[in-house]
Amino acid sequence: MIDAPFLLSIIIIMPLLLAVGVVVSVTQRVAIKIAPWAALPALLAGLLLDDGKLQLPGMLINSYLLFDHTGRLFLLMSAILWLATGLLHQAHSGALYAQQKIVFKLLAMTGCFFMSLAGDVLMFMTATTLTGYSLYGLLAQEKNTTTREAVNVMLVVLVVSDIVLFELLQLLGMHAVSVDFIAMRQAFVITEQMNVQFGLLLFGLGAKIGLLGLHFWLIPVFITSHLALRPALISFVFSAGFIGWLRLFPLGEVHYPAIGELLQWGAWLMLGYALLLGVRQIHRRGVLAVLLMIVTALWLSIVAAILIQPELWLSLNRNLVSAVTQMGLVLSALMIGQGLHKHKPAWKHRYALTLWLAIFLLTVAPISLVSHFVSVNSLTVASLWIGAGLMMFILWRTHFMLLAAAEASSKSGGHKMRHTDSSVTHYLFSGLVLVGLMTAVPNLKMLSMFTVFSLFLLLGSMLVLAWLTRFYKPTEPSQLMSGFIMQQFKQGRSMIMEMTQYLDIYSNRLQKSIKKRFSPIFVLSHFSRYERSLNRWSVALIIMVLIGLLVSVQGLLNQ
Amino acid sequence: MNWHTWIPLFVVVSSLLPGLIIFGLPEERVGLRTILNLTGAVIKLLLVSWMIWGVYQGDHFETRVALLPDLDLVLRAGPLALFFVALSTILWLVTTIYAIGYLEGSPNRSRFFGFFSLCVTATVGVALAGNLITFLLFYELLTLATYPLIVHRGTDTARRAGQTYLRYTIFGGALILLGTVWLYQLTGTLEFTPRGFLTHIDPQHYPALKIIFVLLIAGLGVKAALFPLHGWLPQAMVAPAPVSALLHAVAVVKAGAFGIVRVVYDVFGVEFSADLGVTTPLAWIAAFTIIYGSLRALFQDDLKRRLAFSTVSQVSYIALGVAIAGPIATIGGVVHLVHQGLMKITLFFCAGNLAETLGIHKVSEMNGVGRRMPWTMAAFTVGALGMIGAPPVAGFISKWYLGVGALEAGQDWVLLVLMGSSLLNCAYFLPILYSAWFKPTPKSWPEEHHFGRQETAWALLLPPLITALMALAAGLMTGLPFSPLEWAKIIAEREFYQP
Amino acid sequence: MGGLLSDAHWGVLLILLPLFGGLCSFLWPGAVKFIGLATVSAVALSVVGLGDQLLTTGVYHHAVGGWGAPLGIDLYADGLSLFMLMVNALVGLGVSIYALDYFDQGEARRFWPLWLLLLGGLNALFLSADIFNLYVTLEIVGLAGVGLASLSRSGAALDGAMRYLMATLLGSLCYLLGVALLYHSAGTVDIPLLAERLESTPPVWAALGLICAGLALKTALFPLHFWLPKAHASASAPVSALLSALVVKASFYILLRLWLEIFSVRTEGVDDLLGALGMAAIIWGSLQALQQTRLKLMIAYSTVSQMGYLFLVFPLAAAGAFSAWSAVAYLILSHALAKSSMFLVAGNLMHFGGHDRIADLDRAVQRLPITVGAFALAGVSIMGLPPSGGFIGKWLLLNEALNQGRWDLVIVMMIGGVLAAAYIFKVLGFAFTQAPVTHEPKGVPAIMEWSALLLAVAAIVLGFLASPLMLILGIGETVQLMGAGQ
Repeated sequence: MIDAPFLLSIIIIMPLLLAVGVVVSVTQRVAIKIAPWAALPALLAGLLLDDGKLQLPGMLINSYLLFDHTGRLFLLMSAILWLATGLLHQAHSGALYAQQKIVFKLLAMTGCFFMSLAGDVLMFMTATTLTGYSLYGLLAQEKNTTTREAVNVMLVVLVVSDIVLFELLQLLGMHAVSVDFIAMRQAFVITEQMNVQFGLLLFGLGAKIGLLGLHFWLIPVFITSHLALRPALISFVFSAGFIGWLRLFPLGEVHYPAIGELLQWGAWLMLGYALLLGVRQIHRRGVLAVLLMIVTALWLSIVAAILIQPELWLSLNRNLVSAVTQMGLVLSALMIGQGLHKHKPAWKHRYALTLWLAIFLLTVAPISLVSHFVSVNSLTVASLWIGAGLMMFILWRTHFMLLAAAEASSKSGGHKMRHTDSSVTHYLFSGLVLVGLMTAVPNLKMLSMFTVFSLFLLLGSMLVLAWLTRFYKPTEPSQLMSGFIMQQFKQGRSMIMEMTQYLDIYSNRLQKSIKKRFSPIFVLSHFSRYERSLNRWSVALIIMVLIGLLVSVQGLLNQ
Repeated sequence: MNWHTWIPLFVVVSSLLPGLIIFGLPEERVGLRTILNLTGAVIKLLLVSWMIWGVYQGDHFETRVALLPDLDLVLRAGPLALFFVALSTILWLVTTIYAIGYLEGSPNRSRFFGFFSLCVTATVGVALAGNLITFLLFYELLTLATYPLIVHRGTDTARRAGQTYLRYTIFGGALILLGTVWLYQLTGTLEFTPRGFLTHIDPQHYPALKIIFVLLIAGLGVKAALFPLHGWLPQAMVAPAPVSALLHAVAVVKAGAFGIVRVVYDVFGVEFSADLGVTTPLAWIAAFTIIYGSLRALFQDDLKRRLAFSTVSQVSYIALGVAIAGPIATIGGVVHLVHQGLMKITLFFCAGNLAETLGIHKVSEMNGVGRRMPWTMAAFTVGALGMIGAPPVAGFISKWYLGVGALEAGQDWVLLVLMGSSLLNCAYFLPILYSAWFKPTPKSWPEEHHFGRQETAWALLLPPLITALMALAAGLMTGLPFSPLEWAKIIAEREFYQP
Repeated sequence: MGGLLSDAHWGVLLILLPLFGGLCSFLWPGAVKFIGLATVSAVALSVVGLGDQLLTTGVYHHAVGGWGAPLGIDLYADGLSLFMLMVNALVGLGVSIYALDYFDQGEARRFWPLWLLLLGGLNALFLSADIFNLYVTLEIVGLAGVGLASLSRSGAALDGAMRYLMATLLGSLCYLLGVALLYHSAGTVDIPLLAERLESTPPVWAALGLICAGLALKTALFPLHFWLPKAHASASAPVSALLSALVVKASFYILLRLWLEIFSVRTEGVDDLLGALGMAAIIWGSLQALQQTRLKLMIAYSTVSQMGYLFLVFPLAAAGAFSAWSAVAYLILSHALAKSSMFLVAGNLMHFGGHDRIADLDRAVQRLPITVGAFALAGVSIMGLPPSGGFIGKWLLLNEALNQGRWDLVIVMMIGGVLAAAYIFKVLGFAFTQAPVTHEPKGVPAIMEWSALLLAVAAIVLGFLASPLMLILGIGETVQLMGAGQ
């Protein structure tokens, strides 16, 4: 392992240089060729570099790059996912595609790496905003209006959550001695308004990982995003959401049973709602969005458990991070792979095997954490098991529904996938699942025989349940985004617009009326009459005599 | 002859002299006029950097000329003065290049550049003023120098805009004159002293001091576009782009905000004005202006009017930072003086480019402009993101310090104002970016001019890029020794909160 | 050379030179321009000489013809009179240079003798030490002014001049009656002797009433300003400049001189009356100026308004004497320079466009940049904006008013400044408009433009010369007598 922290800066500089290369016409051709492989240095660094810290002298307010276990795992995940995005982009949209897209892609990639390496709060905020805006730039390239609308809602949610996060950081900034994460975490502990700050944190970070109430943008964006962008989307969502929790929130140092209880019930509520959504959702990627909500629910229940018993955190830390990255990788694999079997009948068996492995890996991740909570917190254990079960059920059900639909459509001639060459997707699908397996290895060692046995039992029962309900189709297809939320959003916007429009019109009218009433000409026209009278000799003589008299009388008076 | 006493005067004269010569130049002497302008700007830049280096070492630069038997004109280069002088000098150089490109072939340019140099002389004078009487002198000179620039086009709307501008500024000037004379009569001195010179006044004068504070801030508020007195700014947008860029982003509006900083810190002293209880109303007015400006900006279809209302709201950040009587909030307010200048001038340059190259004046006409003029729109995006407070660009640093300062001073409500203002900024800047980058380009532009391969003339394209890069660097490289933030810290600790 | 300079009788020279010059220009009309200019520059030099003499030896006192005070005529010059002589010299020089090119041969023959006679009368007025001599010089100045006003022989000019003649004669008649009463009660006409002998008896009060009314009429104080606009507007440009800048100030000088030396101790109510009339004049004059559509009428009404500022000295003179009247002296000088420059500008525009309607002043900026620049600079001084002499005068007066807590004066001065800005920028606004060029304009000779600019620049530079000028104002015993305020 090389101990050279300055190499960390190469990870960020490389994509930026490429972005500049793409923009400058001279080096455009070369830069576009290298662009897909821009994530390589990050991957190598993630594998080879030791943990370390790189101080950036001039940057922001004494900021530095931090490379520790969490950073390494998330960096590896982002690097792999961005590599997949690069390859997919090149495979699917031919050699030269819009220059604008590549620039946005490179900027988003830099942002993601920045997020995992950021050592201080402002650097993290910069990275989140940079990725958010450039990813929006990528997603908004779509032509049809429904995608545009969904992506606009995403931008609004992202921007609002960024502002809320910024306010939280300012609240902490007052007490923190400096802007880096350690000081911020201490500030979290010192301040007394813990619930206000936790609420802001929940809102700020939850908006990105589909917290209940802020989840409405998740399903439409997952469904409508272009094939090549899906891994990038997962990488952004996981990094922006979970790194924030791990770095900012003082897990294991703060003991708040009250908030823990509340959070636990919130997690249960989310699981129930996810079940409802999962059943009604027919689109294969919409289901994956629901899965992300389940993952968030599990995450919240774990955080709740740690809030109740802070001492759990020390042992749990490393496993939790690897479990999360493992789920991220598998989810992105499913994002690409789901529904591939239609296009390559020959690879049907390999696809089925990889799908089974993927589903197994996805569900084993939460189960591997159960051993930490077995004797301590039964509620968390229950929620973990239920979460895993739910995931299995929903995945199997969609798989069987797709098989049923495939049979129906194969009779009616089926439709060819738009892109001819899907082999790249296949390899990436299985590749991602394998990487997911590698990250899962340390967790798998923790599994006791009993849990493995009960896991297979659960797998079998969920399989049967899914097989039975494969023909149940929700009556009306769920729209891209639940209509109610969209109406609220539109009405709210038009109401604000009207209210402020009225302010604009009213102040213009006020200005005009003031100008008309107090215009000098109007006031002065009175005076001209008096002026004419003053010009006559008789009046002038009378006034002169008056002044003379006044002066002399004055003298007599104060004799 | 000790150099230190004459450099401030040379700085003021270095733009006055070219200005007067340019007035005399006939219209077609373009080359000579450009040389005069640029040499004036470069000389001023050198002198200012010499003074910055000197002041950093602790030297003392002051020019004193007797005006009245016991009152004299003082030009003193303190840290705060140099902060504003550096900003206006750099941006004057950039705007001159832009103006040369923008006014290519338009009538009476000698008059324009003459008044342009006079205006910068006044701004530098306002910055370097050592006492309230010198400040008032250059403040009124600024009004006189900017009026001809606003009515430069000579159209009827320009004349009316000029009239409203005068109606506000002359009224403001009268208020400041009254306040100054009354203060002079009460205290006998008008020198700017670091923690104010009013602490030894006996309490029975306090009501009078309150009224004087209201008079001075109302007078300055006219140019700093505080709420009731901001009416002239949107109408003054009828002026050509370089005028609205330099004047309404840097010179005129900043002179007002800079004046407020001077009055609160160097005349009243921030603790004294806090005890006097005058800073809280100022904070409320500034907060209301921030929200009002953004709300009004939501609906201006004309791009420059929208930017004008955004200026109205952004300049009140400085007043808010000053009104929250806390050291960190001061740093936030003072550093926003430079950051807002850099970002806003970029936006106005881009608006000028769009108007000059494609004839676009309305936001609704900006669909797909990103494809036709990518570099200009990239600069516009950097400026807009800065305004919103998105991290890499300079805006977020001043918002960070304002927020933390407000909390530290116990004024939590300010955080809500900042949050609301950021949301409103997004509401009126992001749609512009969205329609510029992602909407399809229309079939034809209102009046398109082609400049060969690049999107527009070099003189029009370079300035916005330079200022956008400076805004980005001010945001990203705040740690460096001579960055705006470090200098604001020097100001805060040397000038306002001496132990 | 120093010796000769210091003891020569500059005062006598100041009076004789213009009279002699006027005589010569009358006899040799051919060389009238050369003689006129030579005389005016000689007068200016002698004022400098007198100034130097006063600075070295203090007050200048000279009994004409060797007879003493009660009988003979005394010449007397202190800080205030030197200052007024400076006003004469500066404005005289500027207007004379302008007049060289303004008048054709016929008019020049009649202009120069009258103008030099007027100059002589003014110098004599500022140097005389007794009230009867003041009457004589006042009469000369009045009649010369009327002669000049009727120079352009147009209908309006003659009507204006006639009205001006009537007003002048009425005013000086009242003043003469007042002098007679004073002579009757005190037995002398010499001002210092009068100051000792007068006590408050009915005839003295009647004299004070008559003098105040007469001089108020001649200075066109607010209700009695009816004759000024027509006379000044219809006269030719250099003449109206002289009338506005110098003649109107002469009668004010007499009122101020008498007030400071004789009456100030015994008058409580009267100074407030004059102050109130002054305030009314400021507001009324500005409002009327705002309404005018012709430039020269507007400038004339602006004179009415600015004279109101001068009358504000009387309520303040009782307590802070020196600082009050030094402020007013400063205002007199800056107003004289600025107003004369404005009238010369109006002359240029009339000469150029054939009309002086404000609304049609379009494009004046491009075609006559120097003239409009002069108007702007003069306007800055009239408004009292900082870099100008007007500002210093306004600042000193405001300071004095605040010292004595006279809030009404402060507010009126503020409103006056804003209204002045209103009507000046109304004109400047129209100078920038782009209306198409309709008629073929007549070119304006460079001298006329540059002389207007020089006067305006002098008004601005005055703003920076405050401390040396205050020294000059401080000479002479008028300060010690009432120096209580200092």
